[in-house]
Amino acid sequence: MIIVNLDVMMAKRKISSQELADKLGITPANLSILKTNKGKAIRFSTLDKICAALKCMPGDILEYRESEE
Amino acid sequence: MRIIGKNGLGDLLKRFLQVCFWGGIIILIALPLVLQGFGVSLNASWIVIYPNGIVLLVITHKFIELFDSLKNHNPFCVRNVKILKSTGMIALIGSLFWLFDLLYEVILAKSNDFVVIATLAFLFILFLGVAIALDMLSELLKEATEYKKENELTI
Repeated sequence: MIIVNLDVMMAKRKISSQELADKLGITPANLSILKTNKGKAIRFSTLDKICAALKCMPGDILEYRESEE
Repeated sequence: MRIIGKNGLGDLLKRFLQVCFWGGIIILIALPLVLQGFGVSLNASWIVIYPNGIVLLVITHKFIELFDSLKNHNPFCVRNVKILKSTGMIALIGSLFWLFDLLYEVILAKSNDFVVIATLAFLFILFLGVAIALDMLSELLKEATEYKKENELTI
């Protein structure tokens, strides 16, 4: 399964949810969906904005873990 | 004309169905009394009128619930899938009632009235078709609801 490590990167860059949501142009509620791994998919455009805002690579945010099923 | 939202076509249809629903209840209750006033007895006709009348009332009520969600701008929800599914089941029960009425006319009453037999056969096929169509629609709406949920969770 794919894990979104957005909160880790946000802590590293010392950026708040509200600030990041404003930079990405999405609502804090949608950002929360991403952070809590409740999202079904992520658009390339959103990923692009996240990488630009947090100055990181997609691999810093997305991580693959083997499912426990 | 708008379809969804307040004063949209869905809302108008809902109001029309509400009138039909309450009118239907009044007719079902008052029918024996009115006929009695004219000196006419229902006899065995109640077998046709009441079960099918109640089925039609329940279907009307289900559609009122369905059109109510159009007013709230939320047609693609699990509740509507369930409403369409249950309405399809009720329509199927209705078709069985019409089949029972048809068989009663042909086998027990030995009716030769072509118009009555053709009407009952038509209503049986109509309700069966509606039941199948509603079941298919509920499946389509279920798919659409899942797509909508997935789209909402795509950030």
